[in-house]
Amino acid sequence: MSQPVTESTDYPAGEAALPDGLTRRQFLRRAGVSSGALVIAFNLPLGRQAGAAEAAQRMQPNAYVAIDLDGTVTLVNDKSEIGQGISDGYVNVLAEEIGADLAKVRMAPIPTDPSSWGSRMSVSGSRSMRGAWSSLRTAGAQARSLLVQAAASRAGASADSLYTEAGFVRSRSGDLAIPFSELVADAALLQPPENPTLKDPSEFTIIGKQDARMRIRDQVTGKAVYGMDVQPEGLLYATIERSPVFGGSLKSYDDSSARQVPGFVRTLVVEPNSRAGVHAGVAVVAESYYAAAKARAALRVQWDAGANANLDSDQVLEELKQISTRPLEDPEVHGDFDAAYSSAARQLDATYSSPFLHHMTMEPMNCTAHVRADSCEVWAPTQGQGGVQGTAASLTGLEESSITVHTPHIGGGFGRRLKGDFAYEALYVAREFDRPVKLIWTREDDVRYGGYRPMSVLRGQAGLDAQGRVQAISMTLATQDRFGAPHIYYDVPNVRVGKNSASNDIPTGAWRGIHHNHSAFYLESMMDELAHLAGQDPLQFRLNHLADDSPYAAVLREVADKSDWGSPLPAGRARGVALGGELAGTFVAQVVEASIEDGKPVVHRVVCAVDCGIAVSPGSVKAQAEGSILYGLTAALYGEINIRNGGVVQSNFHDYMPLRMNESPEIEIHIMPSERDPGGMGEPGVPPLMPALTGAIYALTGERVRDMPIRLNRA
Amino acid sequence: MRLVVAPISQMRKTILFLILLAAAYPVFAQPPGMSQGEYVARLGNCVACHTTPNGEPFAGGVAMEAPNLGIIYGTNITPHPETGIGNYSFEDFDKAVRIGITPDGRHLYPAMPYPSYAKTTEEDMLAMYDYFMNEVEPINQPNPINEIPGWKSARWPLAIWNMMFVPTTAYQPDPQQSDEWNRGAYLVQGLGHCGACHTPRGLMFQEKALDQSGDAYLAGAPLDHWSASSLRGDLAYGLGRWTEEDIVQLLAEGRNRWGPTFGTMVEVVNNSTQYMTDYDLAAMTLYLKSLSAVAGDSANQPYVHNSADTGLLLSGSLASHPGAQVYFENCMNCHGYDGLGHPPYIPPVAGNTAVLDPDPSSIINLTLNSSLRLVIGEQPTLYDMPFYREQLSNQEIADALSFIRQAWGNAAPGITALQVDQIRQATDPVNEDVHILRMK
Amino acid sequence: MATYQLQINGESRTIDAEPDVPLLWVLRDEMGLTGTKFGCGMGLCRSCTVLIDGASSFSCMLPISSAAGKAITTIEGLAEDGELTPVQQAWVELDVPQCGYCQTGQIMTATHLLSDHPQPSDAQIDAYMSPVVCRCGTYPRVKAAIKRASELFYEA
Repeated sequence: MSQPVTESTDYPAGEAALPDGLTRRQFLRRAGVSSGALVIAFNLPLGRQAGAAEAAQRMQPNAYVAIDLDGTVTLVNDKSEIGQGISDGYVNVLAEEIGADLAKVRMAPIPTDPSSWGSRMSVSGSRSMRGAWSSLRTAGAQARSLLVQAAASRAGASADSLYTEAGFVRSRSGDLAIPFSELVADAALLQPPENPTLKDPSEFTIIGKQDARMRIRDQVTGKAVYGMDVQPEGLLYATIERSPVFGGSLKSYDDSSARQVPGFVRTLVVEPNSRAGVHAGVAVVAESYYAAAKARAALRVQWDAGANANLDSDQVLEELKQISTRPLEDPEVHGDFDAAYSSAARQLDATYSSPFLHHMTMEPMNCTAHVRADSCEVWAPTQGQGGVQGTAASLTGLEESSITVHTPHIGGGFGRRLKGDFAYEALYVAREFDRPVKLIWTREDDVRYGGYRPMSVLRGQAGLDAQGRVQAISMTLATQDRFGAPHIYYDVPNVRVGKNSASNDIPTGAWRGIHHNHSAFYLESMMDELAHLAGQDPLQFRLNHLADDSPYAAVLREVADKSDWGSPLPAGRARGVALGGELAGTFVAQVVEASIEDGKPVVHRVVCAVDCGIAVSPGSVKAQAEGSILYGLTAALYGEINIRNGGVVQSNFHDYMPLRMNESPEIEIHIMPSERDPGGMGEPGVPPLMPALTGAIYALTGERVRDMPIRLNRA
Repeated sequence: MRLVVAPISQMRKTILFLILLAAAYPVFAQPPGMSQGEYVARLGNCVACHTTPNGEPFAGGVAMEAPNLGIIYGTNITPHPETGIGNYSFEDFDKAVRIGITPDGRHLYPAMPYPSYAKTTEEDMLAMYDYFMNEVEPINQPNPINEIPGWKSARWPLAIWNMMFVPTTAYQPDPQQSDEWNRGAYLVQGLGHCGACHTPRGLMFQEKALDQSGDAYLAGAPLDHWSASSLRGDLAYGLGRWTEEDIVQLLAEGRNRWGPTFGTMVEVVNNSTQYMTDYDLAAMTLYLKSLSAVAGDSANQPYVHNSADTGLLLSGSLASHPGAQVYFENCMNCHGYDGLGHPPYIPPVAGNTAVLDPDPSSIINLTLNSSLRLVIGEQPTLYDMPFYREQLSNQEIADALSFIRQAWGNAAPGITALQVDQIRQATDPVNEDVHILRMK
Repeated sequence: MATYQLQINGESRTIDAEPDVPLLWVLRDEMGLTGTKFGCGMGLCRSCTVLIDGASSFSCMLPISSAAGKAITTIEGLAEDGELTPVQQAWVELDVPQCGYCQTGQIMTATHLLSDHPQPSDAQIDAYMSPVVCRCGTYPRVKAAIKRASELFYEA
């Protein structure tokens, strides 16, 4: 973390490396902070291993806390809000350490120049809170310390006798209460301590107890402006007809009918760019979206299907099954699997599979861009603003510093918005016009040109000894996924795991929980099968293979307790249990209670135990866990993208079905008390759901579901 | 009369002479910018079976599944000398279109509606011949080989079939009727080949009637898991409640106050009827409205909208009404509490003849698979019904459709899950791509 | 092109449009009422729900020619003078939205449900709300907030 510094807004102009290419004064004014405010600049590191370029950026400030003359606390930072509630978490941490009134803390608009911003700006890997935790606390504690110092010198009291609470500096004796607004001007002139004292978690009144709810009023009144809602003056609308086959190319097109649509402006060819994930297409630009959509429907396009004309996901599955039987390319080995397996008392040898999955954010992909001769503005609902700026620079030939990237509200991410394809397309089209252009993807485009969670197959083998302990596990994953082999967190002496890689031209991308999802489905399914082979209770069996003090065991015991594991259920219902592998510093266990109705699984209740370290914003933690469970359940029941003739079969909510309210189970989230630093919550709730549900189905019917999504034979 | 006269060969001079002779008959003008031959080809909807969506006009290759037979391909009918019909004389052409026999003596499968085309006048045949020879671009595209199992591929039975069922003379005007009625009858029976789909077929696959003299004529027939509904005057599910304007509008624009057309008729409107002149639309309508009701009294109760079911839906208390529940959650937002929809884009289901059709194939098929897009004036309509085959079970679809068939005063028999399943197994979701078949 | 009179959030507006343009795009692109969201374009997700004569209806498949002359309420028209309706209050109280994109559909449909059934049963909630898709998984909170809004109606 960089050296914290205080700055007043009267900082000399012309200083190097100003964010957004502005003077600090202009920058803070844009953030809504007035002259003379107390400002602390600091750095929010990325919560992961950084490359060299990132390491160099680490020393730059990329976040600011400002306490204004009226006592309002403003946080400037770069994290997009995609529904994960990160702004609530950040505000909680900051307000806690400062001792601010939660209602008087606000988030400034997300900065618009990623190139001068110390992190290049992105949201992924459930890292936002983990990365920011200690920096935010330090910055807050520094601000608190200055306010307390200012109050101490004003009142002639010792700083030790003072504390902050809800926007006031107070004395412990109770006779002093000075609002921040009266102290800011003085505090802004003081030098902050390098290592301020952080609050002891036992003193927390906001963290773990309150929720900031920064966005909600705009969301319930329709005022929140999402990417889809951006409407700069003079807007044109674009939609793109793309190659129906991945990697196909344009032969010719005829837009004579499209030209007859009132409001039609023009068509233009979009050249494919495989690095940017952009398909060959014909863009239609019109004065209104509906005109563009109608004109697009009236296009006659001839495509050259190319090499993928016969690409088929059923064939990919067969190929992966083949690959999963081959010796591992680069196995991770502990002990001697072969010896232990061959001498095992009982053996399991099973093949599992997971399909391609789509994200299906509620807001379809879109992006608005206005390219001028010397500058460019982009409104991008993205999880990666830095990438959007780079794309804009390369497509327009402008300097990155001339490109302004606005981050509107975002209607769901789940990993989809880490890809910049939609921004590339919008910029590609907008270059041709002197007016702003909004590119809107239809839902059909969204489903057919996503970046899919890769299909995978797992060949799993395991051996039990006579006492029912797992002595050997081998897991051979076959996938085109760039992520690695499953991690085995159970105590097993002889292990061989790894991945055999496949490749094809089906576009893939990060999907909420990434490889943790199929890893958990495979490992937890194997453990469940082994428990039944051993004749043991599946929950106790798992505990038998975990150290008593492991956080895995703790969440399992918690979920057993809260779900009344083992207690009788109404006829026709059964429970299943599963863990997920540690994800972003968080551990999750779930118990699913299900029945079968009309040949289909129905989930009645999900009990979830979460150890996410300190739960900064408990409402957000629960919301993320609830959402993850329903996201996983949707995938378990319905999620499947099929490829036929080189393109995606599904197209909209009627054939890529979402879970609906009448299928939504009762959900209980139990957050474990913890003093560990906060873990991530965006993804860890997804992985356990699928194996817990298939475990319940096995307990209910004796049918072992090894392939996602769930299709019961007994139907 | 307008004629496109290309450099005239001796033979064509003969044709011109014949056309001038034929002009003694009442003359029906084609729309501006179109030759008579092109218009006749539009009326006969040749393009639908002889042009693929991305293919060259009339170069063939359209696959058609013939019931109990196999796959038949529409042939190349461009004037290409080797792969098309470039070497056909007028007599060859006339024989193929009107009698179903090629110059080399092969009998065409009656997927080619020559039993209807047989009624075409010589004048129209000459005009169409001129169009195909002189206006259509010759395309070198060999015909695919039909996929018909060996034992079914013998063509000699077709000769017998033709002798039994195919008329050999052109339409004979009925002097008792007006010119307009006769023109309508000529179009409906002949080039329009309405009976090919809407007239029930006999044991030998022959249409049971070829004109209004038979009660079976246009009385509704199953067609490839759709129901080509009755065009007779019956009130419940014929055209009894359709006004002349309704019929004209459907043929010209593909939709009217009963909603958009669907199924195979979308292709007919997209490629043929929307190009018809006002006079011809009115003439067809006059003829269709002259067809009597044939289904008997029970099918001829006048439809009266009843709002009891509107009240049930508005109450939202549907626990004991499974069909109403499915309708409430999936159908009602478009088709309404009152079942009245948003015509002309979204059809009413209350009182709709397609809903009341005794054969429920169409509404089952629509619900499972949706329908093709209408393209009027080369502008596709974007009001697509989603297909429900993934979202709803056979039972749920049967419940919802049974509810619809008996709500708001509708009185048609319920539907079983088995009926839904049979069509589910035999069909696929519609391809939502827009197909604009060009004749140029 | 034809001219249509629309009653939107209590105001009368005149719009020139092609008769087949869905209400959704008139609201969003012509009138700047972007609280009504585009989600699927086929009436499958209900993010575009508005109230028409008090009943919830998706606007992406509602031709402008059918919407003319009817009383249309959008999400922007719920809170009068900035005072949240009981449904909106309950949404804030129970912190319902995550990404928020579907919440227009949830709130408008819940408003319709509660006007039909001020004390809805679970089955009624399911019947009205199941067509409204959320991908963030706010269903449990939506359900709880509907019950809370029902209480607020009675308190009010």
